[in-house]
Amino acid sequence: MDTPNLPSSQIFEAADSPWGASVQPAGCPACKRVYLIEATRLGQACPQCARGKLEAQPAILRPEAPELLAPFRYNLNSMRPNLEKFTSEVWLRPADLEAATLLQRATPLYWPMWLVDGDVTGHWQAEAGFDYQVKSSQESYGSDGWSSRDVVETRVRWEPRLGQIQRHYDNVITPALTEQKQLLKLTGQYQREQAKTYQPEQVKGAVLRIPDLPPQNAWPLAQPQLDEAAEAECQEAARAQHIRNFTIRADYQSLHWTQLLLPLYVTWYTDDDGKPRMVYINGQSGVIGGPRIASQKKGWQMAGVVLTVAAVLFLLTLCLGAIGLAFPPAWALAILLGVVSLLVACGAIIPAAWPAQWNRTQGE
Amino acid sequence: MTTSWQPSPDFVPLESALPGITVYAPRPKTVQADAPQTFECPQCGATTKFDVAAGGVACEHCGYTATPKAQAVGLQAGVMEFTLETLNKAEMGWGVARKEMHCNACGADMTIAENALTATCPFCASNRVNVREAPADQLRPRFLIPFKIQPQATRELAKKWLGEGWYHPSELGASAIVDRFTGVYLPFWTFNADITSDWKAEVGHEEQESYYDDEDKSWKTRTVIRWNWESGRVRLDIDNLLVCGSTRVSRVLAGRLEPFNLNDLVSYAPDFLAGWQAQTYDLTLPKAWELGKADMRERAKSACYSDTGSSHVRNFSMTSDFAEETWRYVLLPVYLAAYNFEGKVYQVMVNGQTGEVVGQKPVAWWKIWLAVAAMLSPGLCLGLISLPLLLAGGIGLVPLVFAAVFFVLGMVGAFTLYRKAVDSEAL
Repeated sequence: MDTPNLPSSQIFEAADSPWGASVQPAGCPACKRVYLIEATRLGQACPQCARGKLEAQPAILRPEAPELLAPFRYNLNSMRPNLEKFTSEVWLRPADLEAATLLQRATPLYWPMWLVDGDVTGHWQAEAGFDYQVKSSQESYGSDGWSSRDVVETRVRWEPRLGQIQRHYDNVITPALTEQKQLLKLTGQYQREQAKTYQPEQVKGAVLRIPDLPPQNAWPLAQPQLDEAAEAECQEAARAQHIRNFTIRADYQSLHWTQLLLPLYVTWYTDDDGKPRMVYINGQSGVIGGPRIASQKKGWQMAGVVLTVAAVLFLLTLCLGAIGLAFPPAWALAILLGVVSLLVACGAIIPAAWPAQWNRTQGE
Repeated sequence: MTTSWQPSPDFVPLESALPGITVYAPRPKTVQADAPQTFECPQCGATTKFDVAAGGVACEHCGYTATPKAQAVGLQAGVMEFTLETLNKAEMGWGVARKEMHCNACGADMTIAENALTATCPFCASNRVNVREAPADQLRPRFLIPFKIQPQATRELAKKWLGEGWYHPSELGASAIVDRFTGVYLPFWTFNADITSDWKAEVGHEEQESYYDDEDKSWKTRTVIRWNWESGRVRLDIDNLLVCGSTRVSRVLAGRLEPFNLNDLVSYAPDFLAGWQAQTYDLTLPKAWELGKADMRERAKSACYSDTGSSHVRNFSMTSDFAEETWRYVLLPVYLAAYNFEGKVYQVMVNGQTGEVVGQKPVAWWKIWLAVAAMLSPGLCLGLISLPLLLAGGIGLVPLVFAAVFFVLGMVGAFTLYRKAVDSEAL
């Protein structure tokens, strides 16, 4: 089938205030992400990379305001205990990885998803699965003779089905950001039911992320979502409990693209090398995600302290050994102290090796 | 909707649960016609019937023959699962029996036997096949083995069979039994199952051990049994276990008719039944499966005992998990006869595929008792001779031992013969 007619986006100049809110387009020269921000945020660090400063710039976006917005359910201060737990789980953490720092740098941000409405008209084919039950049995023999127990097992009977479809679908979720999958992996899913009609005053004080997947680029992702919705309905129409090998040849018409804005707190800390590391907080569920990098520098320092203690103990061992030449019972103490110093020295491996091992488990 | 799209002609529309979506499914396979079918020769209009020699429906008057439209399926004949739906329907039996049929040939109304699948009009002798409405399509006869043995051959087979065995009445072979065989398609259920059995038991292993005999002052060996708790797993794949679906014939005799070669199974066609009697099942699927399962679990138990590797087993227990259980409903060819002999009725059956003859045969009991006496007499006589010899000077000890051996052998032989004779008359 042909690619359907898709709505085009529009260029908004730096001074424009789209979507009825007192925001203007701005971008980060470091990560190239584009936002709608309040003028007071110009010159501040980019909320999603912390490497560049936000600068006013034109932006390409759909002129219609978002259709829905899921509001923040947590304010930042209520997140403090969770953030303290999040940071305290890292034993040798960088000095910058502290709850207070993260709270101080947190920026409320709304990120977009496309909501696609459209008509699907065409024909479909699939294997529909119908549950049925079979009776089996288990026979036991013992001192009392035979006893029997019925076992009922559910199986699926697959049958071909085909037909035509002419259905309308509303608000089919489609990615609007290239990093959507990663964001959802870090902060978990959102509940769409909590979304409300967009009001400009709801986004006051927040940064709005602009889609980097316009409808033209998002359509290859939207079509499978529409097909998936059609598949579920074809299964229902066939009164089947399962469906597989679903194929559809359809025209997609009357497509309507709007946005759903989802709440997110974004904050950051710097690691040993001064590189900013992003931490995300789902504004709806409170789930915190992001890499927690341990400090190798702190690890070396602690290992050094432990080795110093071991060296002191070893010196004491030598002293006791020397005393043992004149007073033999001191040998026993010297040997004991020697073993302890050896064990302490071995213990230095732990802080030295732990940060690298921990960091292997932390994705970017 | 896209108007150019058309479903394949093999598909039919179904009711959709959602507006805006149409649903098509493969056209259901044609269900066998419920209406009785009359067999008339298309050439001369005479009554036709299935002829074993011709392998099809034949007309005795003009020589017309037609091969049945059936497919040789053999062991590939489709099997059914034990779905709850089928089992529930099978509980209802064959449904309401059609006890009256109208003859299209002469217009007469006739009464037919409750379990009969076929009928011959008593007025015009036309042959009809009457497949009644089943509670589920699966419960219709779907496969059968056609008769391979011609009706005329049963006479010779029966004569030969009646002549076998010396302990039957001599006049049996000359009786009129050979004229009374009736070819009947009997209903049978076939069952398949994979059985995994876990067993546990105390298994005794014989071992030789040496011991010092204080009385003989010497070392000797003796056999002792060491008992160990052991367990194992046995997998058994049972295919095509047959259970007769008719309660109107002897289960014992029906069992002795086996084996049937199921490689000869063909798909059901009414032509095979034309002019022959055929019965529907009256032993329902669940009841037949219980019998089949009982047989299967005993086989599994035997397999587990064999798996112990010892003849000394105690505290035996096992659990068998049945899997992949399937069934078929088939019609198998059998010739039946019943006859009177000295006021008693005896049944005889001939396997219509292999010619195997089984049945009850009257026993001339005087021959049995004479044979029993002959078997026991050597031991008794030798014993009677040896006793005075033993009293006379001790030389009778050896004959006495021989007498005991002969007597035991005679008892075993007599018992075996007696059982055989009883079985011969039993149903």
